[in-house]
Amino acid sequence: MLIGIDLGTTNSAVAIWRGGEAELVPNALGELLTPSAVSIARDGQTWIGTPALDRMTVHPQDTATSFKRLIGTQRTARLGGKEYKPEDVSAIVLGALVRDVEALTGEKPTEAVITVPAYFNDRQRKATRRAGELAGLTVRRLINEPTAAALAFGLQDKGDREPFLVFDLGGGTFDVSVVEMFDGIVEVRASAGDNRLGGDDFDDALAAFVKPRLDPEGLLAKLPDERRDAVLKRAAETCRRALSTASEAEFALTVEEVRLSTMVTEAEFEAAAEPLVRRLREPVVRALRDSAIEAAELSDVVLVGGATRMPVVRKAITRLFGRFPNSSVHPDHAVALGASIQAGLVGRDAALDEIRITDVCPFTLGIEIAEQDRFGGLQRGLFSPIIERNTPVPVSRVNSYSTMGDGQKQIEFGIYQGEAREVSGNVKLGQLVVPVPPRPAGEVSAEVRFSYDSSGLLEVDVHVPASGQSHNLVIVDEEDRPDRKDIEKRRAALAGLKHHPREEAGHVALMARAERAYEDHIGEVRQAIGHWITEFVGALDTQDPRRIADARGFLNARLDEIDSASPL
Amino acid sequence: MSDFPWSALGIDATGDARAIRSAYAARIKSMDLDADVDGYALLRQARDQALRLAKGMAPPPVEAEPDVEEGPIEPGEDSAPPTWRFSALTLDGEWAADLALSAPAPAATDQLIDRISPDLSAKGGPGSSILPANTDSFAAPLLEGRADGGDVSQEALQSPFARLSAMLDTSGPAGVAPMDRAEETRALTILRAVLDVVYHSNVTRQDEMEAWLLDMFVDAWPRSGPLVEEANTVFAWDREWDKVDARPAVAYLGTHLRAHRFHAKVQRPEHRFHKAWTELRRPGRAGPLRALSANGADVRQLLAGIRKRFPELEDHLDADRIASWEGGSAWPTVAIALLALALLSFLASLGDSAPRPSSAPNIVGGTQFAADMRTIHAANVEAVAETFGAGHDPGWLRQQDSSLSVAIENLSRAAVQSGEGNGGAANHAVEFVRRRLYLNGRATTGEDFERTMRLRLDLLKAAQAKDTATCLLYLNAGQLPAAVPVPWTVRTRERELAASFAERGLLGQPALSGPTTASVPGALVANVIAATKLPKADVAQAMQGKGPDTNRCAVSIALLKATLG
Repeated sequence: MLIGIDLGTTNSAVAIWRGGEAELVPNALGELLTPSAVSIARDGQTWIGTPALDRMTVHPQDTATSFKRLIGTQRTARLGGKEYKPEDVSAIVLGALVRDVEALTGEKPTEAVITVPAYFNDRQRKATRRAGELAGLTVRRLINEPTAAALAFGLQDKGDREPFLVFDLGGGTFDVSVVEMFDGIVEVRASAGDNRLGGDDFDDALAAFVKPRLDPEGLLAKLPDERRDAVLKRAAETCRRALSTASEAEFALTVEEVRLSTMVTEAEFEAAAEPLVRRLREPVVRALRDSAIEAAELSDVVLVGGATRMPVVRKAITRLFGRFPNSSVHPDHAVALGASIQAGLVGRDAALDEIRITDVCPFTLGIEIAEQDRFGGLQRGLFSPIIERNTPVPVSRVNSYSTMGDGQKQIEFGIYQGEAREVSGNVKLGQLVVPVPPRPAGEVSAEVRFSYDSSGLLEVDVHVPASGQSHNLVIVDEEDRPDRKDIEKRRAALAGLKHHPREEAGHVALMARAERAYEDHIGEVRQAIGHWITEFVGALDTQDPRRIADARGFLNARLDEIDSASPL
Repeated sequence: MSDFPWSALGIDATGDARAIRSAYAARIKSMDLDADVDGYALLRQARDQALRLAKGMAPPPVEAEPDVEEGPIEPGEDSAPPTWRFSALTLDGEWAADLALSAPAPAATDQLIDRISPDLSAKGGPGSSILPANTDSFAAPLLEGRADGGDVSQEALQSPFARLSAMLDTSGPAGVAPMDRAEETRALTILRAVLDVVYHSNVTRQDEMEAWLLDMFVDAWPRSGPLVEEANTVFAWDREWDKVDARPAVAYLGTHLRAHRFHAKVQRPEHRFHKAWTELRRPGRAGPLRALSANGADVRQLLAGIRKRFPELEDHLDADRIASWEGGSAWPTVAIALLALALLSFLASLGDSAPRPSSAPNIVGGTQFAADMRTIHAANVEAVAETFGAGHDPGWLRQQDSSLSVAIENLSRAAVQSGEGNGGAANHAVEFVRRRLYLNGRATTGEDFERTMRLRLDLLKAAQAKDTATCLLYLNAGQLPAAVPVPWTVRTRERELAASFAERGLLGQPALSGPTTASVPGALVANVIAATKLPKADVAQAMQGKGPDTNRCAVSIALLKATLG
């Protein structure tokens, strides 16, 4: 079975293609979105999603969120006393989504289409693919998030569409794609983005703005770093969401039994977010320039990603495009639905027979070269593009290069991805060393062919006519090789984690929420919460389903009351 | 393939775009893209070409394709030369009228300048009557500054676009000379108004306005320097200029602005390469003990860095000194890197991609560039000699006042690049220094002040002999075109004074000075009346900056003469 997964910075979702339709799969708590949060206790007990998020402020040292922002880097998170790579934690979330599908359909999915931000670089893509494999999935294809959203939007009525623009601002990444649809061909014309800009940055900006006013006495500085960051982040997120519907909102948190609180106005938030809003412009301009389309020609501006709900972002969009955006797709669901449509396409589902999708490679691929400068010196480390950004994929291109030194015996090909003139500003994907017959400088040439397929797999061939030899490098293998040996081991380690039985998911989530509420409050309210928790735990011990259901309903209702009663 | 692109699409030639796209869609559905990459590329190319034909626009020869922006997704257009000069700007709204004038051709720009500020136009002309009168008291014309204040109410009527265009008009009196502080403040205020309009426009309009600003900034560099920094905060050019496909204008501004920043930084003693920089600026060959004065590794690193990033800064260094440092170092012997020769494409035979121009010039660029640099240097040598007299060269000037030498060198570079030649470079330099001589000289005392004023008197006479407009331009703005004939003896005095000022560092940025008032003793007024043979009322009017232009010119000269005795 082939499923479509949106592995997001803030939330993840899974959808399946069945009966000629894309359908989101609810998690154990009945929610369609599973927060991308994982909490692991010392004994290996694991919380995923909403309960993990609730444990964030209470057990920050055991909990990870926004790990998508670190994927493709060497950074690790220490949870429950063990080190986890970002792709490990991602795999844990993917595992939960797989179990959700299994619970709904009774069939364990084995293959998946996973979405990635269009502007994810090759390393980030590979790490995402590994996460899928760690979760026991064969990743049939990685598809760009705005492309997936465009599929979901474009297939709403299956009619033709003049070029439209997908504006995808998620929790951690920002993508823009210009797409058109004609006779069932969904054609991505250009993508641009910023893989370091998202809703999280708006939270950080808000927290940084509020901190001096909120905490003039520096109480927060006494907290351990991770706890301080966790409470600030949570408070910032709550406040930012409230500001989406109100002109003023409270920024509040509890530190060491002291409640800190301040009001933030919409205007203040807008000012704090201004530098981030400015960064939205450049990818938009680039995507339009690359597709040679004017803002006025766009038939629609489609909003995707939770962060597009912010009024400050909507305002900027309206200004940039001189029109109001289209909100006909659900900003949090479109990507997962699109992924499942792509899954249907990969599986050659009959209902999608008339649909094809063509995408572009959103960044430039090339090799490192040196050039002689006007003084006779060597300028090393320059980037020579072979496949230029926004070239439709699959694509295959050849460039010819020649030796620079007399009697040079080999040529080193550093393979890079990026837009910078100097390779130091780009991402290195691999290296290929090719022996050449020693001749005077410039007499030996080598033809370098880059082939980029629709899954984002790059293959490099070098042919040296002078020796008749050819060399080949499949980039994905090169990077994956060390991990291949490792992957089974990692998978086994992850399998050792303890998951709560599905039927207990509700209790687990409620307990995590209650514990968070207990930490968040002080005085009489805290005492009351403590009391309700004891009652709930007592009910659980009786193992009497009726009593448990009653206690759960009661505790949920009380917590709802408390959460909605703010300020205290 | 005579029938391409129609054969690839499997249809007959048609002007119907829908039919072309349908044929394309049908073909795509019947193929496995990953298995037939070249077929896909060919099909795409066929569609794009067919759509162009259908539009009635046959694809022009590749190098004539005007729009490089389509490059990445429109194969076959990769080699189009970037066009970024004077792209038309169409704007709706309140500034539309001004922009229509200010956007495209140089001719239109002249017109615009006439309309906005005839006082700044070298041609003078009928508009002189709206010359800003910046003295409202019985001010002594000899102490009258320049017309930089402008008339606020006049300006307010014009769009910020037109005003900015006027301030950066390189055909105007200021050329590309750096702005003084007052001009800079004013230009920044206007620019912020422009950026505000940009901010409230849609992206495509923003893009057009950005292109307009880029063109203007490139043309007016280095005058536009301070504005580039400000505009960069909005357009984030610093994120683009080190990109492999940066627009030429952005790359140009990026290189110069970074060179400018580095130049400012390296002159501070705490800078890592300050010692190496100072060493390389010393004239003459370095001795065998050169390692004592600077760290060899630093010197080589600095030189390599400058050559790689800021080639223009090498002009600040001494060629002999560089040569002696280079002599001792061995070039890296292992060259395992590559030289890009030509960009052959497998798909070139299909016409899918043509060799791009971007890498070719880099290989041959060395020689052409070096030749350009020599031309600029020659023009600069002549400009300095013409301005400060024979026996003065750029090296001398750099020792006296490095920022002045940079300014003159920039004028020379601009003159060479715009085809004005060595004569043009010399003219710009003379005009530039002439203005500073007066503006700075009037702030001196004693002998310097007297020499300044006597020179001004003679130059005013020369200007008056040309025509009234020239006289008023010099009177108000301190500008006297080098083309205006000036007696040989006066030029000699001007050169001597310039050299003398330069040696004492008196030719820096002029200080800001507003209109000054002074009362003129009755005896002087009587002298002026006698000399000009004008009625008293006319003289009084002219001294307040009012009345006919001829009177103002004559009265200023007479008053200056009477004062100097």
